[in-house]
Amino acid sequence: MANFEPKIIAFCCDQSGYPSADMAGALRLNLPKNVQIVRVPCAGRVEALYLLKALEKGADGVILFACYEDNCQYLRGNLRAKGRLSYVHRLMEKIGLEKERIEICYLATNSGVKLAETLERKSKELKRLGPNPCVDRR
Amino acid sequence: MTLTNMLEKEVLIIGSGIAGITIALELTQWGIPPLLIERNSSIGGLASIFCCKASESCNKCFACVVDKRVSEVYQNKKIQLLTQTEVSRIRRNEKKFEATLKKGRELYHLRTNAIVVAAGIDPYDATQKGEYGYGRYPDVITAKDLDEMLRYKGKLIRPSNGELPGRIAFFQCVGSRDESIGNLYCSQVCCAYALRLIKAIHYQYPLIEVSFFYMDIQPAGSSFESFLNSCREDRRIRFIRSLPSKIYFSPASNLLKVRVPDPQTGDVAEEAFDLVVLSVGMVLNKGAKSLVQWLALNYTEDGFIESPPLQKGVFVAGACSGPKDIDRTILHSKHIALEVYQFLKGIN
Amino acid sequence: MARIGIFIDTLKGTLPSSFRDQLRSTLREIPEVAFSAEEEELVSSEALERMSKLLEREKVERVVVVGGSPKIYETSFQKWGLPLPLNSYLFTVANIREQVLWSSMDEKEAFEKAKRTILKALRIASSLKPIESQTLPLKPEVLILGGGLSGISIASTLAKAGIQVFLVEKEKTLGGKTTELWKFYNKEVEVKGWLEQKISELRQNPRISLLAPAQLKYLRGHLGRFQATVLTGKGEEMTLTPHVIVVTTGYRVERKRGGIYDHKRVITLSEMEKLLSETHPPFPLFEGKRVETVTYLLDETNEDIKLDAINALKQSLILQGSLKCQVTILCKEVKVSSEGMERLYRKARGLGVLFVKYEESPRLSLVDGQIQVEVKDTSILHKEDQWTISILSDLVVLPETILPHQELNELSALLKLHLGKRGFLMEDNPQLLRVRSNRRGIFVAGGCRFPQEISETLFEADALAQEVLALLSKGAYTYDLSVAEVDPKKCALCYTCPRVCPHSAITVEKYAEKNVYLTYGIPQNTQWGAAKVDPASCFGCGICVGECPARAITLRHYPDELIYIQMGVDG
Repeated sequence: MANFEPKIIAFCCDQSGYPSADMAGALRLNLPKNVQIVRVPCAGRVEALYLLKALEKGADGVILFACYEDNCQYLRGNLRAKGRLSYVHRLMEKIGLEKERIEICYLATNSGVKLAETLERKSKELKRLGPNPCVDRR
Repeated sequence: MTLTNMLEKEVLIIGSGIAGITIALELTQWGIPPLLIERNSSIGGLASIFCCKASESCNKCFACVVDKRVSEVYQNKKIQLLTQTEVSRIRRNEKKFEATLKKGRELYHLRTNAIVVAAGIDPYDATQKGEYGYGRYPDVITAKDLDEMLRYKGKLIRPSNGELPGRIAFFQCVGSRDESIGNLYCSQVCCAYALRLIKAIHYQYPLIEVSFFYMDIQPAGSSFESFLNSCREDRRIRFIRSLPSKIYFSPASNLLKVRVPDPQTGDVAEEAFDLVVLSVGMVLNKGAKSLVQWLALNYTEDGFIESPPLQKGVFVAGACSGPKDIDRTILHSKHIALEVYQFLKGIN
Repeated sequence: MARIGIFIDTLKGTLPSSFRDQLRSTLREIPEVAFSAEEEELVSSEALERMSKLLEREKVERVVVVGGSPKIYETSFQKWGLPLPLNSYLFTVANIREQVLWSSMDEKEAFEKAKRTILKALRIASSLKPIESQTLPLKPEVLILGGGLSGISIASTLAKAGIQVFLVEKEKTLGGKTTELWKFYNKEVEVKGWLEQKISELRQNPRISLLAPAQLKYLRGHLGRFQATVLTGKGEEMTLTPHVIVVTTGYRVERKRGGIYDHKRVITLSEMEKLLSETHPPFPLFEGKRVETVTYLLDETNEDIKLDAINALKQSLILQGSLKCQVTILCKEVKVSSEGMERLYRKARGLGVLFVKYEESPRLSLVDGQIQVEVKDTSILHKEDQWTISILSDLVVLPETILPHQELNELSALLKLHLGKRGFLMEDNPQLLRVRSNRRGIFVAGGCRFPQEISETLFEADALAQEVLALLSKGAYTYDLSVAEVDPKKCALCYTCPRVCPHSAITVEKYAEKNVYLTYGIPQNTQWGAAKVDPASCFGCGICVGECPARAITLRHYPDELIYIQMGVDG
């Protein structure tokens, strides 16, 4: 499909993802066109339900930005998020949905470049994978 | 037209590096509104240009903590922040201090009860070590240059041609533990700093070969043992306990040559590197010298600022009082914040 | 939909005027928008005053700020008590500068995206609910567990600032590991007198109640309402009600045992310290015989702790400098990163102390009543040429391994604190800034977290005291109720959330009046048990919200609705 701009939902936590998104802007780095940033207090706030709902409602991909291990402001939020993601991946495997659509990426407060590069890479990956098969496009 | 403003504040904090901003934030917790001045236009000092040095997990470099504290200062209305401001005069007037601050064409006349000197440090000027060629050979850079490159560009490149280096050498103790230049102290942070940079680089570029030239590896933090073991077990990092005396440059190959003793064969061979990173030590910030004079402070044996006796009302915080990493600077600054509080409240 | 007021922060002109024109015309067509005002620098005090007056006049119910990152505005509105007539949680920010205008290549696209972001912000604004703040009174009463150097230092600092301190120490005497030291490495004073003065100051301070020997048996409650049961040496149980708790319980040491290491001439650093304190010049005696050769064997253990190197160097300067001994220090790295250590190292070498850096562990054996230490000297880099040196020593000094107290597991469970990877208190997380714990109102410092040398320990003790004083100085802890809240009617008492909360802010209490799992035949007015979040201890992270299987927990400032609107799935 030409002109397919994958819709990516990026969960950005207040401690790392969100300030990194601001830093990416401050460095004038270009983010892919169809990225939706969702601000959460901690990656641990992101329920497994939200990840699946994102795909159910038409997002092509989801990235969960979380803090590195041993650097979460709330100590365990990033580990919880990782665990929920594994659970979601197992469900996706069972229903035949590509696991690569949802991923977790670790960053710190000052990772503006890493965030921009990750979103860019994800956009390219999703362009190869194709649009979300759950969406009824008739 | 020179604008003159009169200010009366309880505390003046000179320097907005991690030490100055930590003290400013902690003082506001007690309802004490400090005046924080900074010579440059942005705050955060040296550590604010540091990149995150995580690999699979956090490597405890504390760079993100600095970023967080910086944004807290901008949001904290109790801190009066004056950037592009320098002290042009300070003197004591009985129990108070009178200072003249210069911000562009504006002048501030300040009366204050306590002064915190948090002027910070400068990296040792590597051009003084002429034999390493810093400033002449573009591919000889300092660890700080490397840090800045990783933070703002997110890429590792050879300055000479923009390509990815394949072999990197790290020289430790440049400007520290060096009798020939009179720096008889260990700068404390450079070993962990360089190793964390190497870990961060390897996470992004797994194939780079690193040679680590050192004297003694200094510990840093409570996770250091496992961190150092993982470095030692990493086959891409070659630890060589000797410091090369000179870097040669080969224009034909655009490579840097260093004479390296090979532990296996015992021979000294000339090896080529694409990039040499000098781990420079710390020296007192140049700008602090006038402050030391005006406030009648003393220098320590190692050329940093000695902490004056408590009753004077002058406090010295952070690395300008002696080499410290970010973790210990924050600790020391909280200790100084307590001393400032005790001084202002007449406790002790 | 509620009436919404819009403030456009042009950020000193960085918002292009062409965009502002487009925006104004779009906003005019939305019925919910009561007004839109423009400011050059919204966070300036003048602009905030104008904003305040406008809000009072227009009587809008929600506010959307169009400008840069929310981080610029939030604390202006929330924390600094500005006289804005609306609850500060009824504001939302459309971040169109950093996250839209600056990160888009195409201007037209950027404007479209910015408009979409602002429309989304309007939907968010309509969904917002006010959040009140609450005050928890705090009395200046602190319980300190552990009477070593950290505990003593913190107790004195807090008491001098007017805090009532209870100091609980396991042993009869105070001072911990510091009592084993004779001299400082960087001061001429003797440790004993210096420490005794600190202890006597502490004993004389009327604000400090010393309970020694005594141990903590139970701890209940949260910040501002702790209930600590302490068992004294006499077998009495005392209940204390501190508002803040400090943990400074220190560490233990273990001597290497087995074979040659049990020999009487293999001694520990503390035993050597004691020997030196009792030695008169010209030379030390061991069992009546002169000691001439002393060999230190460092870095077989405690590799990242600086204490051993500091004590070894300090002792070697005395042995070599004034007691006519030949000292050899075997180590993997010479740890000179404490203040002044490099100069002492050079002085030691100048006096004749030998430093041998090794990689393979040295071998000890008994030869004619002396200990023979064999080590491969790695100062020659060529492995084949490396010599094995053999040092016949009168005494071999071996540091003890530094380990966490055996009771620390139990203590951390009592206090609901985390343990780190090596068994010491608290994981090594930079966000903790060394002295904080996972629980609000409980602070940790000193050897129980990570053992350090004296000056560093004193700085850490001061840093902790600073945190405690800052917390207690206002007499109360004021916080927003932007926390998790359990709906007790839906709680199935699965106990997931108390186990999952990293801050131990959730307990189970009988406070619910109804429950959906109610079965018939239960009399009215039965109080049901349900999970309860202590709002003063909650950090608002939302981890519990994601784990509750019954979805009975809401995070008040980030409810499901807010997240769904941000995701764009609310339609």
